[in-house]
Amino acid sequence: MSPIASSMLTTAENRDKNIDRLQQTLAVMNKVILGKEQTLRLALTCLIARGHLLIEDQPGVGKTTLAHLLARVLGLDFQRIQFTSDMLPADILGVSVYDQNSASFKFHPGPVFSQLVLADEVNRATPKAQSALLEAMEEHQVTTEGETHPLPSPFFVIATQNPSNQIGTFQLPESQLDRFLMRLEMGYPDEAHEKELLRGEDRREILKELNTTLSPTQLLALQQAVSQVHVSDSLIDYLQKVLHFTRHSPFYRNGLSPRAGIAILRCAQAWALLDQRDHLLPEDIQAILPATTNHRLQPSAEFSTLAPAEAVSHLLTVPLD
Amino acid sequence: MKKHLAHIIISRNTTRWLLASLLLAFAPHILHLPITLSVLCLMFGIWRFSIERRSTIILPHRIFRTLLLCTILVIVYLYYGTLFGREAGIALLACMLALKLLEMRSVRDYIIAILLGYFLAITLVLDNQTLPMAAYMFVVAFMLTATLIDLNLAQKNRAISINLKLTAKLFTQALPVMLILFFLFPRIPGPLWSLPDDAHSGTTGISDEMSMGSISNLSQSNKIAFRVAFEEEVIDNNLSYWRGPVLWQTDGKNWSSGDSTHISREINYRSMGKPINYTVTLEPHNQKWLYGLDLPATTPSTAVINRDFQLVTKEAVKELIRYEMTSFSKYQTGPLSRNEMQRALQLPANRNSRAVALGQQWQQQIQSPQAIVNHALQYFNQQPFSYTLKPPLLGNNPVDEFLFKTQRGFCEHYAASFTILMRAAGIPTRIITGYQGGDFNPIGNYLIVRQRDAHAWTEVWLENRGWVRVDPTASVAPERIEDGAESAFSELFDRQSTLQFNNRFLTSNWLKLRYGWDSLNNSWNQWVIGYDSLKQSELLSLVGIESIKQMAIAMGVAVVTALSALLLLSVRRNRQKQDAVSLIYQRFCQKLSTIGIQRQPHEGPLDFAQRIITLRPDLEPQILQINDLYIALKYRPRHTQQQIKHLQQQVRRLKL
Repeated sequence: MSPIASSMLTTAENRDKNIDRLQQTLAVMNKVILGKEQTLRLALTCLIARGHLLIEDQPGVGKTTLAHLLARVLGLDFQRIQFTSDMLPADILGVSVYDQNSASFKFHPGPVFSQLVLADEVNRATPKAQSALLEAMEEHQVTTEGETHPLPSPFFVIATQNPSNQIGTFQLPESQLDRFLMRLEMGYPDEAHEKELLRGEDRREILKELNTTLSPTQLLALQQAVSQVHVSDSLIDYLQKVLHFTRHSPFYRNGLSPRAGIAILRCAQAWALLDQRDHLLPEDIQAILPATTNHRLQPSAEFSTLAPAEAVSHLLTVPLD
Repeated sequence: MKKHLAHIIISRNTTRWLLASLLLAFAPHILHLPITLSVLCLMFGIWRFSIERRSTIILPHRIFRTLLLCTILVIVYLYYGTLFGREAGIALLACMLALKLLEMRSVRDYIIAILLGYFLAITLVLDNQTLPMAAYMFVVAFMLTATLIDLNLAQKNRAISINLKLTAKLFTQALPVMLILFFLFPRIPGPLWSLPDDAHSGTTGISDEMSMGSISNLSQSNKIAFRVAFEEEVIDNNLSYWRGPVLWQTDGKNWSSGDSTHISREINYRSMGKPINYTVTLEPHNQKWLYGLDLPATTPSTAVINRDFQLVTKEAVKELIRYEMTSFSKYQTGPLSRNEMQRALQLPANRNSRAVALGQQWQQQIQSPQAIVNHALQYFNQQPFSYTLKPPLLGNNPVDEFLFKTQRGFCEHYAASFTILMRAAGIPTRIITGYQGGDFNPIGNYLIVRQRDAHAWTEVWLENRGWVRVDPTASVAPERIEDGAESAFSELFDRQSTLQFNNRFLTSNWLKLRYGWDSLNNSWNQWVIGYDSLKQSELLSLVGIESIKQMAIAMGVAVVTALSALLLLSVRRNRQKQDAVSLIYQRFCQKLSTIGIQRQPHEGPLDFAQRIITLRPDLEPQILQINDLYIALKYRPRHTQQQIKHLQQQVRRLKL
């Protein structure tokens, strides 16, 4: 066996092993957050697709628990930033302080310098503070006073947002919403799971006892494996048809951007990987389509009464070929 | 299909388009519908429009709509006495369509409304088949089609112009089909879809009865009675007498034809001079006769000639007809039968006694009948008689009152008085009604005869000469006969044209325009409305098709060729699009659709397989095998020809 072939074999083996670990991680997460299998699966997909996650829902449905849980099972170092209306960019990025000993400015990294950042209630902050975080997310680095500081890798932001109709919020502009790969809604648990939740142990206690099931290195390897999921031409055509539909249908004010197209594809690949496949199927695209598009598509004025979920559901009726 | 439709969501613009185009289709019906119904229909439309402006669309409740429906049924029934037939049917159609607006929700409802709109538009033909109406219907059809496109093209930001362009494209594509169907679709001689009995019931025109004032009423109308194209040169105005009903019987006030319907086997009169050949295009007038130039020598196939030389048809003329004729302007008819003599001398007792006395006095004073006739004409000419469109109303002895009191009358006054005088003087006389004169259209080279050219004149029977035409109107108002009705009443007819365009240049251009427009209408009548089985066979014989059977074969061949060409084209296009794997999968899906499992166009292979297995667990191993192969072939990077064959076999072997 040639060395090249054997290395391919090992990467393939490695990949399968990593996927197994990923599946285990998912199983563990399902034991902590009950009855949200699909949401957790999507969150994990978002993570291995190297995207950032926006969770929009009422307070108290488990947004923060999800962030803690991910940090815990993935062994990532974790920082939480509570966004407030008087927050300044330096509170997020860090600040340079004059050090008398070395007679120079020294950069004190802010909370954003960590592998998993929970940006809680991101729409409470002013646009200035919001954009500081969003720029860091996009660039994977922070530039202050002419110095560039790279962010750690993996770097994953979970931002939570209260529904925009609540008082004292600054709605994230569309251009910044586009930086999030997915927007998820947690939703209330169903009756049976809620009962279990009420009877069971305190979730925080469970979190403390959890072990790391997927190491950061394994996560990085998985993130690289995503792009190797094979995408056939017919699926590229299908995705283009979906994009075309959003650009020409009367439901939406704007169509999806090419960046959104790339994001959908990467996400679908990650979903296929999580499903232990090395090739993409139309179902993969359909599975992640609502979560990846519902914050990118605004209903048009004519259909302003349409719920976002309903507007997005029309995407799923685009014929395959 | 259902899923397909559910895919579409109707935008408010589409509703507005629909309302606008339906309003267009409805508008001409307002003239015929009872006012209550028109108002109701418009109200429903406005209602829907205002609903559409609100943020949420709330339609009236079902019970309320049912009540409205009952109201409409009652109104239609009260007004027409029936719910069926042409008028009531159209009224119902219009109202139901308007009511439909109040329950339109789904795409299906919209499609129904649009199709009914097409239907409503086509009913316009029942009233009016003129060129402007055809143009109007074209606009309506265009709008409705644009609405249909708007409904189906779920495209955002689509400009109206894109919509209209597409409609224009569709119409252009439909044009050849329309022409082929128009020219080639076999036309059955006689009306296949005959118009209902009440068609053209309000048509104006000469009737088979005459009373004082009945023709002068017509003279206000500019409506066209018929058009005549002469083969050689146009005849002089003073010979242009177009023969209609012949009236014998009178009670002193009213005139009717009596029992003169004997059909003559052959036309027995001695004709002299040159024959005049011409073609008449007669507008529908809802009467059972045709008009021919005095005196007709031939009969068209649709009519027979009676002893009065009147062209009589079996059925009332309810659609535009066209016939070729030959007439002679110089003629000598034969002797009079005893019965005819009696009828031509009939006078009502105790009526118009002064006129009768005058006639009798002439008979005693003057010897020859010819001299009496001349004397009477002189009498009309020298006494202060005047020719007027607005004669005073006359009482129980109208002829006496007219001759000795009012002395102002229209052609029927002169014809009737003359006849009474002649009959009193012992000369057999009858009244002929019809048209006299007409405008010559120099652009289309034909004569236009209008309702205002309606005329009544007389015929006296003289020994050795037979029936001789005498027009007493000519001795009162010769210009009426020489130059036609228009010049006789120029101040009335030309008020609109000449007063506005005092300028001579403008006037002549206005005339040209009018003639041009009429000649366009004439061509429309000749070639579109008048395109019947006869013309069709003439046209087809030019290309060598002689019989209906041959034509049917030719049509069939044309249709089959066109269809197979289309089929071939679409199959080929499909082939090119789809690779072999997709074709096999398509066959697989087709096979499953035979047991009622239909793959949705957006359904991925895994989902579909899952659905099949849930519905038919017994098929699981086969389905999974096929699905795995298909996925491998379609979505995985490398595959072999072997795998394709394998998939093909699996699909073929699949037993359901």
